[in-house]
Formats: sequence, structure tokens, C-alpha cells
Amino acid sequence: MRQLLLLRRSLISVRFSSYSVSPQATISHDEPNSPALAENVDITIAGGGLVGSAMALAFASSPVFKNHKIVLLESQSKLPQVSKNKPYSNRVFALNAQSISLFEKLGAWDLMKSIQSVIAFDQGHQSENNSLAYIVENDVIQSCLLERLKQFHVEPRLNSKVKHFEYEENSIRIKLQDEKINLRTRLLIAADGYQSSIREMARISTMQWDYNQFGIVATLQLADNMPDNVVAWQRFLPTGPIACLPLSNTHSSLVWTVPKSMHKEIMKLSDEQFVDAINKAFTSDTYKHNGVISITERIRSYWQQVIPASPTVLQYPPVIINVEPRSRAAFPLTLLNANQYVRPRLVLIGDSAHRIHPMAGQGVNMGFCDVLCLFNILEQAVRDGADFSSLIYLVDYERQRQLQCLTRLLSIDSLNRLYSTNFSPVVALRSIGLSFVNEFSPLKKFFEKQAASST
Amino acid sequence: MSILYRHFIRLIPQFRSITLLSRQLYIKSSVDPGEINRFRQLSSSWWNETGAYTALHSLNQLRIPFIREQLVQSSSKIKDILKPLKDLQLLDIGCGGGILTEPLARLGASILGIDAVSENIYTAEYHADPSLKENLNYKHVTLEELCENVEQIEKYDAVIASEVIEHINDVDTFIANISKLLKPKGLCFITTLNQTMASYFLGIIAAEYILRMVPPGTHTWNKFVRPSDLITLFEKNDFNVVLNNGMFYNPIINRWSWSESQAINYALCAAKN
Repeated sequence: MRQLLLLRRSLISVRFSSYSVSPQATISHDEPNSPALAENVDITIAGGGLVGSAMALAFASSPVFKNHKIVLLESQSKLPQVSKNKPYSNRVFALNAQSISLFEKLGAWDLMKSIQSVIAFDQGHQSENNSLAYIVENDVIQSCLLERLKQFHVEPRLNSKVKHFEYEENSIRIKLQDEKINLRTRLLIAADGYQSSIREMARISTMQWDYNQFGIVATLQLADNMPDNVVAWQRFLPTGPIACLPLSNTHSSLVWTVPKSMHKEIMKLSDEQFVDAINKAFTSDTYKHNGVISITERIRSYWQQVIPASPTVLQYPPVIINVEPRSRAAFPLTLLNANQYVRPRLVLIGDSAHRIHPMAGQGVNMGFCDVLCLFNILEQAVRDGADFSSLIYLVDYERQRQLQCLTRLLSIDSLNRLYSTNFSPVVALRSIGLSFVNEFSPLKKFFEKQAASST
Repeated sequence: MSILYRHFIRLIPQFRSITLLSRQLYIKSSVDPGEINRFRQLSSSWWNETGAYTALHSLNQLRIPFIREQLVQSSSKIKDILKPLKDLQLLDIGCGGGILTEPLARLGASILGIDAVSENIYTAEYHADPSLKENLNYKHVTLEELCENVEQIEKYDAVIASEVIEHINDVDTFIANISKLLKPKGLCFITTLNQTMASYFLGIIAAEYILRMVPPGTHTWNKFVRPSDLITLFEKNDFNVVLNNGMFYNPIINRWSWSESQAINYALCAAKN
């Protein structure tokens, strides 16, 4: 109920938001110690993560922005580097077709493929050329984007966290921590993650709630050399979904959503006990409802008389034998949506604007879609001769993205709720519903298309 | 609600105006500081994208591509992608605070903005981006006075009079004067309101009194020009109308779009023979 009220309130601000400059953010012009010394730049991107780097690369690689000075700020002291022989990191992403085409446009995709043989996974009987997704490690994406940025002479400025920013007449003045030289920028793009300090400073309200769940990630070693390890597995347990994403013939990546109460004991398990727990979660029958299964089978036999049965290839979940040392980690899950994605001269992209449950692997893809959308809109603004930080264009970005992101956030949220219950009628309905979607190919294609694109 | 909020905001000016840091002023230093203060206030009013002139700002999304495409097509040289209007001489009549003039200058055109109100010219000059100093100029002069200057005759590749002719008494002479200043085959761009029932109810009653998008009394319905009349006047002055399209404004999302219907707003492009 509280969440519905939060949603209603945030929708109202979405609809009627005013973009006036917050009074606390203005400076008084008779403040004596605002130094005139500042570096003038055009676009500042705060946050050198995946989405921030992709945004910087989009500007750097475009001929339309060749006369614009781009600065990428990163608060950490180093960014991940990767090489062919290092073990897999525990954070991987399933990139959808649109993210791949963005990387191809930025010229970074070939670089990523050369470092890691990326696995394309798709449905067993899908004959189209477009795969559903590619599994790529976080570190690989990050370092390839930075490598490509280096080719355009843009280096991220490390140890540069934004301490404070103020509005000036035609720009934003950014004060960095450690008393570094101030920046005066025309446009500030915040890509600093879901706990975005820039969003806090701008006092942008958010709609958020805690899922009371933790996501546990790890890198797993599979039983045999499985040449057809190209299928991503997800099983919906009442405690939360467990997913296994293929990395190579021998390794897969785990994303296991567990309730807050359970996560500590799972993290405390020894490696062997952990592997046992995972295998049990994949195969155990304790979660199955016999009653539901018989109903599902009966209903399936009814409509198979109407809808031609597509040949379902039976596949078995992978068997895990080992977990890579020190690859186990847990992080809390929340849903977040900023009520405003833009302010005058300020844009939120990626997780600073929206955060989603990892169940559908959509989070970073939505961030890359933000990058593409904002880039296209700003490119249009420059071609129209407008001041590219003009609010008219930024509001176009907000309108497009907020609608798509909010619907996606809420639909995944509903799916999470649907699968979090053990109540038999609900279980029956969802099992029937899911197998219906599986059988009925137009509907299945619709969902595949939704997952493959972020628009 | 954003409109009502804006109404409320007007009563509290310090919420809206972004205060100034020392900035290189591109106006004559003989202007006194009190006047400069006033121009700053006016400038922040003209150039506030969520303020009283918000519809004019969003109209740029329609009229800049319209002007750019027509000018780029009519010239055969290969253009720089960032400055497609380079080496073109443009004249913006009734430029106001420079909302349309600045983007065109940014696209490379050498443009002169003229307005009968001196404060508008000072506002425009105050706001002008210093990097555009070479090709962006403003002058406080009327069209008739400009025509008397021999150097201006047949000087311009294009003349733009956007949201202007609905304030002009004698449109025939206006177009004749434009013709004097245009090179042969030069283009004239007009955007204005039609004189229909729809434009009365929506363009005046709704816009000025109910939604308060423009101050009441801005427009006089009798001065609106029908497209057919305008085309006749153009042809009488030896022009050939190239493009004639309706525009529609959605006040809720503050966006313009091209429309089949010319009932309320329309845009016209005519070429001098």
C-alpha cells in the first residue's frame, strides 16, 4: 500500500514537475571567495563506470561533438583492467541486442570479443540470427570502453569526486574533493550509481523501496566440459530466483536472490556446502507442487489440441562442482526511480536514475539505452544550432526514458511479487501462464523482443 | 499544473532568475549599470526556457530544421556538418531577444537581427554568446529604415519574419520591402497565425486568457493573415511560394508539430523570382 502511494506521488511529480533551479543551489553574486579560476569544459560526466564511460565514448567518437571538451570524472583511484588469462570476475551482465549495437557503433564490440570469447545465448529452437543476449563480464566492458576512449584522447580523471556544484549564469561550477581545480561546465551528466551523490545534492526526490532481498553473485565451475553451455538458467524459488549465466564451456556466473534473513548464513557456508546448496536449489523437488503440476499438464494437453505443439527440447540444469575462490559476494536489492531525470544543465543516467531487480538482467541495458537516447537527442540539439544543454531537449530525454524505465521497473517488480508467494492458486496460475507463453509463439516472441530491446 | 505553478512563480522573481557571476558583457560600456541590471532581468525573462516565452523556445525545434533544410537544399556546395549555413547572409526581422537568431548564427550563418524595440536589441546583445561575435549582429532599426540603406539592397540570401506579420499593419509593403533586400532567388520564411474561428478560440481566448501562455492583448485577431491572402500578396510581389505547412502547438507538453491543418498556425517559405 505504501508503495502504491509512493508510486502515485512520483507519477504526479513526473507529470507536473517544475524544472526551476532550486534556490539553495544558486550562489549569491557578492560572495567574495568564489575564485575566477576554473577550467571551462563543455560536458562533464561524473562517474566512470560502465554507463558513464559509454556516454563519454559516445560524445568522443562523434564528429558532431568534435569541438566539445568532454571530461570524465571518477571518484575511485583505479578502474578495472583485464587480460585474457585472469580469472572471471564475479560480476557479469547479459547485454541485449540494443546494447550490442551501441557498442558496435562506438567501435568497442570487437575489442570485447577479442578479450573474452563472449557467449551468445538464445533459445534452443530459435532460428533467427539475433541472439537474445550476450554474457560479458563487467571488467571486460569497462576496460574496453576505456581503451577506446584513450584512442580519442579522453582519459578519466581519477580521484575526482564531485563535492559540490552550483549554478552560474550559463553553466554549472563543480567543486571537486581534495581542493582540485574547479570545473565550469555547460552540462553535467550524473552517472554515479544508485547512491548518486549528485542526485542528492540536486535534491531530486526518488521513489524507492527495499526488496528485503540480497543478490548473491559468484563464479561457478561446471561439471564437465559442456560445449553447449549456451543457455541461461533461472529457477523461481519461493525465496527468490536463482540464475546461472553461461560464461564459457567450463564456467558460469551465479546470481541468486535470497531474502535478507537467509543471506548471512549462505555467505557463511564453506565452498562445498555452498556448491551443494546451489545444486539443490536447481534440482530439488521440495519446491514443486504436485497438484499444480497435474493441473498444468492437463491444461497443456487441452490447448495443444488448439495450438500446434512446438517441439520443446528438454534441457537439464547444469551441475556445479566448484565455486571460484573469493568470488562470492552479496549486495542488497532495491528498486529506485528518480522523480526527475533532468534539471537545468543536469541529467541523470544509468543507475542514478533507475535501479531494477536483477531478475531479468535489464539494469545495465537500461543504462546503455539512456546513453543512446541522450546522445541522439543532444546530437539533434547541436544540429539544430541550439545550446545543447537547453532544457527543451533534456526534457525530451526525460519524457522518453522515464516512461520506458518506469514501466519496466514496475513490471519486473510485479513479476518478483508474483513469484515470491507459495499460495497454491497463484502458483498454479503462474505456472499455467508461463507454460502458455512458452507454447504460444507470438506471445513468446513478444516477450523476447521486449527483453532484447530496451525500447 | 505546471502552468499554474508558473503563475505563482512569477510573483517570486528570485526563484526564477539565475543570478549572475561577472561575465564579459558584449554591449557598449556607455550603458549605465542600472540599465544593465534591467537588461539582465529582461534577458533572463526572454531566455528562461520555462518562462513566458517557452512556446517560442520550443518552436525552434520546428523552425530551425525548416529553415536549415530549405537553405541547404537551395545551395549546391557541400556543407560542413556543424556549420551548414556558412557563408549565407540572413536577416531576422523582429528578432526579439534573439531566440531564433542565435541558433542560426551557431549554424554558421552571418545573421543580422533587427527589432523596433531597443530593449529587445540590448537583451539580445547581452545574451549573445561571445564566440558568435563575428557572424551575429543586432541593430535597433525598422525594416523601412533598413531599406533606405543602399548597401542592404539585394544583400540577403534569406529573410526570416517569424511570429511577426500578425503585428504588422501593411503586409503588402512589408513583403515589398523584404523583396528589396533579398538577392534574386532568395528565400523568405514566415511563421504566423491564421485568421479562423479556431485561431480565435485557441490562439486568443485559450492562449491569452485561459492558459495565459502569452500576455493578454499580445495578438489582435483582425491582424492575422490567412495563408491564401499571404500567398496572393507574395505572388503579387513576384515571389513563388515553395512550401506551406500547418503547425500545431500542444500546450500540455510544450511541443510543436507539423500539421495537416493550417487552422491555427502555419509556416510558409517563398522564393523571390
